[in-house]
Amino acid sequence: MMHRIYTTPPSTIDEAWNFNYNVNSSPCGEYRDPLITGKPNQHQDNKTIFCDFYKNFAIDVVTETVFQYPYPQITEKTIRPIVHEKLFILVAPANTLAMIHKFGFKTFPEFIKEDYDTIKDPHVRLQFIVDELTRISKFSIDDIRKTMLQYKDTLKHNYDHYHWLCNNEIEQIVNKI
Amino acid sequence: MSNISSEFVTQLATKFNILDDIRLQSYTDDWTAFAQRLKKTHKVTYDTHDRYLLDHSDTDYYLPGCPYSLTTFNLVRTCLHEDIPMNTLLIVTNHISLHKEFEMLIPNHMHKHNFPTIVDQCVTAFKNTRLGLNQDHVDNNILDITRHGVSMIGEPRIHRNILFRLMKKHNLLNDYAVSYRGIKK
Repeated sequence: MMHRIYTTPPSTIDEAWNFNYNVNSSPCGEYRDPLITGKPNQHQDNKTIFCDFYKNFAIDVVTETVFQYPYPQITEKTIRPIVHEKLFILVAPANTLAMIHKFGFKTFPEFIKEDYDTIKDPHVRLQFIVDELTRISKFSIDDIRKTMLQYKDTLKHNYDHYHWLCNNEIEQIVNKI
Repeated sequence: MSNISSEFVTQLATKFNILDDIRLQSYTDDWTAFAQRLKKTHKVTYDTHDRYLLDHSDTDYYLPGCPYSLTTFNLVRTCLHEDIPMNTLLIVTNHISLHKEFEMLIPNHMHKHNFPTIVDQCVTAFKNTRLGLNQDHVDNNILDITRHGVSMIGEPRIHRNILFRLMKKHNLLNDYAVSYRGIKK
């Protein structure tokens, strides 16, 4: 007798992590800022993740596919700010930033507090991120522009490193197998 | 269709005989169909280079308190039941440290010589994560920056719903441009 376990209804994500908390996690009505034009998820056409409106922003608040998960899971959503040379905050499983560092990318700890990456509790982690967004929102746009200039080399490094990975990583990994 | 990039598949093919290229996500609701697919290429004796290439780039379901996902559990059970050697599995995943789940589910005596090959630390293994290669470099002009940030929240999920609600509550939607699919009213 072959036993297998299925979820009912079929689901691939454990979204039960908020059941015992009093945080409202039900969906709201759709919302789109007027500055976001065209198809926000351009990668859906499987060609590119380029978004022209990205030039108007300094920080990408990346909401990864999963949040309360046993492992970091890095997808094209995290790659997006790297190829656009933008700062980023990852709304992602704990230790995702640590993995980003392990892969050779650099982040911005002097400007964006990164303690959230080590917080296991999903509610505390999310609240920390929102507090950080609130703190950063107090900076003027001029300050944000100056910060972008300060991180120019870091952002260029990430862009170049991504391209280096695309060209070399696969061969290195296959050689190691 | 597998999400593993053609570049990666090509490289793997130089080293292994790829018997099949399977996207696990397609079978999470029907492991009998997965077993039937394995049967098509099943061999009595496998060559040392034979591999089933498994794309594991989507999300998994975890029962409360369970340290392994249902996908991992069902995959191991199906392969053992169908007499597929675990060392013929070549799993490409973006779940970093997925091997821990297989260590729990595969009997200890099989760990040394009959364990899947798991590639879990290759950022650019998938089509989606290589998309950035297709775009030209754009010189960012800091004067174009008019808002602090952007969040393309996308499909409603618990963490995204909470984030959107909190950003709204803290009046952050003026500083951060948000695109949230939410529920159509």
